[in-house]
Amino acid sequence: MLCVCVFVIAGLPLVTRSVVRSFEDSLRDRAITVPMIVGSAGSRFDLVLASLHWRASDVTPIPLGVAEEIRSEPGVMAIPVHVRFRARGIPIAAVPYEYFEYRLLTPRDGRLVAGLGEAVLGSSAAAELGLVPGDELPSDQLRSYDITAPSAVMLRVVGVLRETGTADDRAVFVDLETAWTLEGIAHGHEEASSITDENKLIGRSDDRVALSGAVIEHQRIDESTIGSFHLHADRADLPVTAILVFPGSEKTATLVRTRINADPTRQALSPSAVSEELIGSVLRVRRVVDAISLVVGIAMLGLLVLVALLSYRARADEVRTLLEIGATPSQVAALFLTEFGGVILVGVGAAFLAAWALGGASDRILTLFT
Amino acid sequence: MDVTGTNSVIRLSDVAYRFPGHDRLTLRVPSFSVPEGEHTAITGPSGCGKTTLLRLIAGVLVPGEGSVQTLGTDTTRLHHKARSRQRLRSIGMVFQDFAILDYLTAFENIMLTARIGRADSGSSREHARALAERAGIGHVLHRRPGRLSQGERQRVAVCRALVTKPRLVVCDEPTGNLDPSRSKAIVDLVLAEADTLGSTVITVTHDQTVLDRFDRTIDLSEVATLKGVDA
Repeated sequence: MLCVCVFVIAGLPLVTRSVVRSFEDSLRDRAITVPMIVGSAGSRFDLVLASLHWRASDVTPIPLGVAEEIRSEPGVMAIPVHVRFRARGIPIAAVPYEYFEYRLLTPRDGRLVAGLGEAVLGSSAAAELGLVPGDELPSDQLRSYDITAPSAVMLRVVGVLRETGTADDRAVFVDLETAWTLEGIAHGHEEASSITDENKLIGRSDDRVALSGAVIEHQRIDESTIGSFHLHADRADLPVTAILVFPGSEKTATLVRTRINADPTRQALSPSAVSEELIGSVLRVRRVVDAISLVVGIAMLGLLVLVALLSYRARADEVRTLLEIGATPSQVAALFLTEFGGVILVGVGAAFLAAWALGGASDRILTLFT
Repeated sequence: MDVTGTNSVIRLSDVAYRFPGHDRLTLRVPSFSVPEGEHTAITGPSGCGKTTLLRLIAGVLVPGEGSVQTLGTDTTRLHHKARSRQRLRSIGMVFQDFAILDYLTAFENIMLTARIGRADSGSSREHARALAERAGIGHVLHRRPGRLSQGERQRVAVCRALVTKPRLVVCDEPTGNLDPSRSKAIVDLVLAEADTLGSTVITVTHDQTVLDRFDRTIDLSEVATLKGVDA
């Protein structure tokens, strides 16, 4: 009980500071690596957290064609990312191969994603899921009670990335085509021209076959089914959550920003500026938590003093025995102080441990509470 | 047997101890001595000052007047730290209520005096175990007091008093609430160990069944008076 009191007194401010500091570091370190993010108009925080920290959210997607428009500016690199789905709770980050190159992500085991249905896991994700290359990982069903929603797809784990100490460690990476399959925009099924079951056909003409909902889509993408997967949309219209933009110069950056912001449905923003804004909000919250910690700390300290006094009175017989045996008052005081010191040491130690552990998990906390 | 005080381990002269909070209540001991190696029992009615006499002898209390010589030292002239040191090194005490610490095991309780006196060595631990074996509590040394019987607790208290091989053993009602056979066993244990060590024993007791074990029995009213008691 006393240890808990000490833990609360020392732990609240320590944990808050440690988490906030890690949170700040994590946000800043990640933000400075990407000069610009383009996405749909809406919450700038959601957009940054989704595209840099893989917070799977319902950010309104933008068409992939926007990336092509941006790339038309000379010297600009644009990396589209799509983050909407999860696999056993871990966010699925759909990225093109350039993303791995840009982030210098290399496989620790296996290889990088090379095709549809393949997944490469961040180091923490692999440890959390207990998966290795060769294993399978089902995507989470988007809406469990909606039979019209796209069904889950079984992903094949082909690699595990080296640890980076960033949000990339806790993500399942797939290519964009796999993400669109999870969206239901791309799918695979038995060859339409060979279907004879009337229940599966709505109509047939010389060059077209209209299939009914009775046709079962493939949920597993493997050698026998991969050939049947196809898109039902123009590639330029396919959705992506955001585009990470790397302009070659300030001038190009201004041009891209101006063009994107001219469209009221889109926004181009600086992740660093948004992150600083987010950190500012968090620091304001921390000040409130600090004030609460101070009040709780004072109350707990009062409780500690009270318990110490009551304990001393309750142990009067023990003190008398020790003194009569021959202990000096200073020895008795030292005995009590040692006991009290032990309690304080355990409480403060636990507080430091909690601060260290929670500080290290700031990326996880970031995705949980932001 | 030396009762004149020439070779005494304990010698009280013209002692007057006024009880705190009772201005008029005073225990007076004109002259009292115990020779070295003697086993003395002190009897007397409740409230006559037996425990106070023991505490004066042990140096826990200091009289307002007179002198208390214990083991050749006038304790009334000693600083309280020196008196504590003397108790730790040379006096073993068995308390009326056992005064065993509940959060320590039986063995830790036995070793308490040695630990406080920084005499916690391998040989003292061996001595403590041997003492406990002879006292019949060798099998319960790992237990805490809550899991010990009344008799076992009492024997732990006796072992604690003897673990530092004291020259003087002071016992306050050591047979407390024990039945006659157990009372005799406890007294025999204390006296046998004291004989082995050559220690002097002074015991306050109400228990008439154990008096024959002692070299001398003194009724406190013969050597001390308690003045100022409301009639």
